[in-house]
Amino acid sequence: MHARRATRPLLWLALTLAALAPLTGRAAPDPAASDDTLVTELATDHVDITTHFTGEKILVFGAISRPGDIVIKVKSPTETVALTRKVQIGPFWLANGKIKVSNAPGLLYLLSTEPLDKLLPAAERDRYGLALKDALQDAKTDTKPKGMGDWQAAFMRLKADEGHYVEGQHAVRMDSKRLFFTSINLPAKIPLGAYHLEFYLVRDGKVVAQQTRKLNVQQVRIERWMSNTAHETPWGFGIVYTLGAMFLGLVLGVVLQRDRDD
Amino acid sequence: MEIFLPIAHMDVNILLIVAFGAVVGLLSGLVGVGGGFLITPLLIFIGVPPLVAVATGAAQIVGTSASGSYAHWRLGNVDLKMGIILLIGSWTGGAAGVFIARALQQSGQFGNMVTFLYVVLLGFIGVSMLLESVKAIRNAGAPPRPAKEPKGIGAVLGRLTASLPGQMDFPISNLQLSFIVPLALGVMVGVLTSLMGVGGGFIMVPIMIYMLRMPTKVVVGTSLFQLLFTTAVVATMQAGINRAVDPFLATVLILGSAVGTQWGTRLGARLPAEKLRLVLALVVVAVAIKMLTGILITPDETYSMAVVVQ
Repeated sequence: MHARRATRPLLWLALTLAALAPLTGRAAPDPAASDDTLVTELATDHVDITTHFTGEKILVFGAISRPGDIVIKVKSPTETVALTRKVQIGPFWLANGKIKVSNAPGLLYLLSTEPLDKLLPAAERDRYGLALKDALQDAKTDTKPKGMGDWQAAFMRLKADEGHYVEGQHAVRMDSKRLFFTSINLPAKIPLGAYHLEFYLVRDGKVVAQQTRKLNVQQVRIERWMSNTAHETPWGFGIVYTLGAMFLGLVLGVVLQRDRDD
Repeated sequence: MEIFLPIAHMDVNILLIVAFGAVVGLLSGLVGVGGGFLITPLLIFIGVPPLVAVATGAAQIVGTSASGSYAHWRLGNVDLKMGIILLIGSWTGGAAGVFIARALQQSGQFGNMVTFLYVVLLGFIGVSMLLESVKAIRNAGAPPRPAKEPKGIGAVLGRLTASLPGQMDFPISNLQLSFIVPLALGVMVGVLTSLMGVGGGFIMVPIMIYMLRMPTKVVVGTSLFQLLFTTAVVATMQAGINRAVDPFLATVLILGSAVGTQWGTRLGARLPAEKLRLVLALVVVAVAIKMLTGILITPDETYSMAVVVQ
């Protein structure tokens, strides 16, 4: 199983290389920057979250017509999170203080061939939003507590701990200076929705080509139905589930009782 | 075998949840207590958000008490008049509790409150059970002493309730009592159901037997009847208002505890009752201590984060 998996990236690469051969041939005679070509591919365009989902590795690969560095930004839809803080009151550590942070991406990956600060000057990184701290740029909080800096630092730290904000400085690997590949390692708990993947080809401190792709992360079947129902029609769900629990209890009582009498 | 819980929003091992249900069911089958007060702390220990643990605990009790209630109803052990007054109280208390839970959850204090309530309650129940069962094991073999006349607080409360207005006859319980007493008892139990995810039998049963002097079989039937319909309303409200009942979690717990209760009842018939109570007392004290140390030990990370589903 493992061996078979390991060969897959190479297979994909070979296919891409074959597909790209005429293209690179065409691009080679003219060294103008505008002729930089970036071809990208994802092993899949969707991720299905089922009850058994424990994370997924998605192979991402592509080819470039002339040598350069690659930066890949993966961004999920925004989500709202509640941050709570514990403080010591007397001998007890108690929750004290809570803020809601909205409009920040649930997941943000920056994967590149080299550390970003080596590849691009600060102005360029800002322009394309290529820093993890940019996640909080458009974020809103419901209150403005004292020590906002601590809350922000905690947000970034917890996001990193959960594997939601990741900077992979050497995560993208180059092969023969024309082909690149990496894998997006999604953890078990991830936001749903359309993820945007932005690919940047970087040379001499500038972005010379870019491309975007989408990855759909969706909850499937009963899980989706269940959580939608519970959130969209909470009373209906509550009444039906409670009656169901009562019925289940009665049935179990009858079945197990009969079992015991035998 | 990991499954993703749609409301708790986390992965759990389904076998662990079945085991929780089975162990608590086993204990309740052995000793004859509900065990709701063990489910909620166990869920919190594995990282289920406290409000989801409490709401799911109530839903779980609906499933585990349904068949017992039905059996007692058929045997005529339910004092319906008493039960309905209790329910009016517990529905009121339960509804108030659900809104209190929402307010506490919004200010981020719900977890603190649950922890304190459980430490106090489990500590009290555990220690008194421990003392009682140690005494019972020492006295094993000695003839049972006749019940003492109530003294101290019991007698004062007895005189007080006799002087309350609204005295009523409860023929099935063979009792005359002010309706205020079961109403107040119901309110208290309802609040506990909403805030702790317990059925409240551990409060209801002793008060009915020792304070109100109701016949034991009517106590069991009536408290089960009250408990089923209180948890049913509270579970519905927790889903409707707080969206906190996790259907996967509750269903797995119901299945686990149904099986556990069967084993417990069979096993309990063969084991000495005093020693069983001692085991349960030790479990309860251990859970209380674990909850207490949870807020005494300095956490590695003082901040925590949870996704808010809109």
